[in-house]
Amino acid sequence: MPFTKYSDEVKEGDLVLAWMTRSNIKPMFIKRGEQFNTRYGVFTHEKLIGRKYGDQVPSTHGNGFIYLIHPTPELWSLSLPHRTQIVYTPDASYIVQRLKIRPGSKVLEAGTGSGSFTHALARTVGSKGHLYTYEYHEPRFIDARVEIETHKLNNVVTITHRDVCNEGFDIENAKIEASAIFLDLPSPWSAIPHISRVVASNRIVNICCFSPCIEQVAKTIEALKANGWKNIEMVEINARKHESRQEMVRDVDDAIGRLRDVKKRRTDGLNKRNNRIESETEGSSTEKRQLEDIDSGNDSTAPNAPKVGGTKGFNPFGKGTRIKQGDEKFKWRNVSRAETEYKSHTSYLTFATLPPPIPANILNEDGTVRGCM
Amino acid sequence: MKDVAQVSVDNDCKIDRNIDEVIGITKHRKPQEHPYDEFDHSIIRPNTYCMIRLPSKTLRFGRLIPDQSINLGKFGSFQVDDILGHPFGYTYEIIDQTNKLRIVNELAYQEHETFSTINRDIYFEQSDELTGANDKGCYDSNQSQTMTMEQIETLKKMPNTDSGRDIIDSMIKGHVNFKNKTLYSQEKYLERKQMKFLRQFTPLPVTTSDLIEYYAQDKVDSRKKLMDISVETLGLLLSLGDIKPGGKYLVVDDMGGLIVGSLMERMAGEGTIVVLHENEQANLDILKYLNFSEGLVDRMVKTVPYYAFLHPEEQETIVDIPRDELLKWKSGKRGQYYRKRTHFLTFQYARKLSENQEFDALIIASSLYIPSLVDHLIISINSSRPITVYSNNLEYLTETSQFLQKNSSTLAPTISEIRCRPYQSIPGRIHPLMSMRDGGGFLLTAFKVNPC
Ligand SMILES: C[S@@+](CC[C@H](N)C(=O)[O-])C[C@H]1O[C@@H](n2cnc3c(N)ncnc32)[C@H](O)[C@@H]1O
Repeated sequence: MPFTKYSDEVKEGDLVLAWMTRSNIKPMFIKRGEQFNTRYGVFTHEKLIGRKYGDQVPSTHGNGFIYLIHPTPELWSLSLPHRTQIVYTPDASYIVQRLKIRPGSKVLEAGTGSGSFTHALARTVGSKGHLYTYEYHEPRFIDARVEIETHKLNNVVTITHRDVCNEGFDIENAKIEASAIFLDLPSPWSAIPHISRVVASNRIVNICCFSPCIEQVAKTIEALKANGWKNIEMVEINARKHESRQEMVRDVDDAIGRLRDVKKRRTDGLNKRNNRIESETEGSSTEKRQLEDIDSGNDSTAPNAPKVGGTKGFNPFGKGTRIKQGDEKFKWRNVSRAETEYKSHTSYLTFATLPPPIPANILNEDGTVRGCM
Repeated sequence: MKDVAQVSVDNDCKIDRNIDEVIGITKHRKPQEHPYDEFDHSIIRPNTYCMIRLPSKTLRFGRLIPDQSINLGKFGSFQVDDILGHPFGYTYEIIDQTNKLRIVNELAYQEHETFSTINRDIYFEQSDELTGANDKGCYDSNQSQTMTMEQIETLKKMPNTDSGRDIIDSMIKGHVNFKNKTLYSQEKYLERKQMKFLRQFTPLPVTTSDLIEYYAQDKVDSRKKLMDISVETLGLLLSLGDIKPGGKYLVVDDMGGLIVGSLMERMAGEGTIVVLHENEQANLDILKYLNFSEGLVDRMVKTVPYYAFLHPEEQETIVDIPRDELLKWKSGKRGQYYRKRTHFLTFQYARKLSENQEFDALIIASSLYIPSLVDHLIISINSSRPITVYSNNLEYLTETSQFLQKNSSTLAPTISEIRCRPYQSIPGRIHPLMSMRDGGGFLLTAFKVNPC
């Protein structure tokens, strides 16, 4: 049960994520006799068995290494085979939180697609809850069903090959009683009328419809209203990452000190040269030009002048040398830079709630209500 | 010392309880059995905390004590007993005079049907987008409303006024330009008036998300109590932390228990949360608002000061006192012994999890300097498990990230920011809302690894 329970040691049959870099994580099923080939080297499964999850392991010839990482739904969505567009972690995490999905929740999902969100939902509802997921595209359905089996999620997830827009969500012999619904398909408005048949009748129910276009949102809202959903609210999730780096603290006083030093050494150099020229009685025209060059700071041709930006003298910022970030000879500050690694628009998330039917035992004859405790 | 650590706290507490029962004293930490499933949020139950949402979306928060009434200020008051046992989520209207309740269709201006009760036909008779009415020359000045404030106030006090509807009715009739408004601005006008006058409310279960929203109504409060965290950041933290039933988590929670509570919501009673704290006692006040019983909290949450956790060698050990001896003690002294012993066993248990590196995640939301805190705690975490740090200051995380980049036992430190952008959700008029809450904090995540 790689997604619902952790294990410590890699065993035969395990799903392990081979972490090469942040953007290169590959799932592998551990099987004796097989090997994992990458440009980071060859890794025989045999040697991985018995390793701890989290171990960094060298390749057979020791020219590269990978980390053996335990699967999580979040890492799976970075490494899974794409069959469709998928729901990424920022959206997925907000949807789970906002739909109040908990261990024990019964949840509906359509369509299954690449099963990215399926894994996150299964992890959270756990074995006390259940996820009913639907996919009408047959090859995708078959792939997803195999995945659910090999990931040992059968007791948590039921996948059904179905067009939910036309045939609804009912499953023979199953009392679904869902408290949360997630629709990620092109026309959620045609699935919405089928929902009331399969939701819990004694509690508030939450829905999220995931659509990339505003026109879809408008139609979805109309359908939700027409079917008694309340508290309709559409939101968008924006997520980004920040890269942390160290930048050298370059103090203005040091900059001044450096130029002062440059000037001083140049003056010293000039004086020396002037003395020399004087002593040689007359200067040639090339020497004159060299002097002008020095004055304009373009001293590259001046053989003896101190180099501006050179490594000599007072060099507080290490100009002209190769410096490693964080080099102790210099002062550093931590800075961050935003990188939009996640997409800036994924989809619009339309949320709504459905109150349960009013039980007769709380209604008085005059239409007011009474408690029933 | 090592030997005691092998015994789990749960079992030992049980032994303590038995002794207590034998010697006939009521123990201070005896867990109360809860009469219902604490994770079931379907029904409104007596003596629990409850969120109440007003038409303006404002949240009120309080405890539902039977036989008492709840006062919603200008919206009126109602009897707690009238809603007990109902499913959460209905919108009630307070009927004047009697303060009885009836269930109504939820107010929201996108829900046209709500207005039918105030005779929508009249108000929308000629203006519609299709009939070409527009807002040109239509100003909502004080002059547009022919009713005076005094008239409105008198109406409010009239004995047979029905829940503010009459007020809105009269205000609309008294509004010179109402008919010339577009359907859309009519609805907006209605909505504004309804938020002000309709005596409606909706009870909702208390969750950590709702508490965030509740405290966010006051910026200072939110910043002080909850370090400015947003619902979306909390959601992301729970996902990236891979929180699930059965996990063992090492947690620093300087938000009064919000983080611990959100973990408990995702664990359904299974697993352990070790909470480290700076003072002698941890502050986990928020757990009681989430309606978790003391028994459940005692079973799942183990609190240990940093001092004990990081300096076990400086801690006082507790010598086991034989039962016969205990029975001879005065009950006060015995109580003290039990308290100390429970603390000691809790601390031993937490140390054992740490020494065996059994923690499934490190979750930090602290006002302490994070790099050194992380430095001390990383060692307790199992490999291939997430480290997740919340902060409302990007700078702290930037620094911590640098620190982790140099640490070979952590992989891929990453700083994430997530923001939820709400929209006006009226078909044909969909656009981002003019204002949204700012802040919301940042997350730093990394994986614990074993370098080769
Ligand atoms: C964008 S994908 C879903 C991706 C998924 N949420 C994930 O995270 O991997 C949409 C899927 O819905 C399926 N679908 C579309 N209409 C459907 C319908 N009426 N009934 C069932 N599945 C449908 C499509 O075949 C497609 O696989």
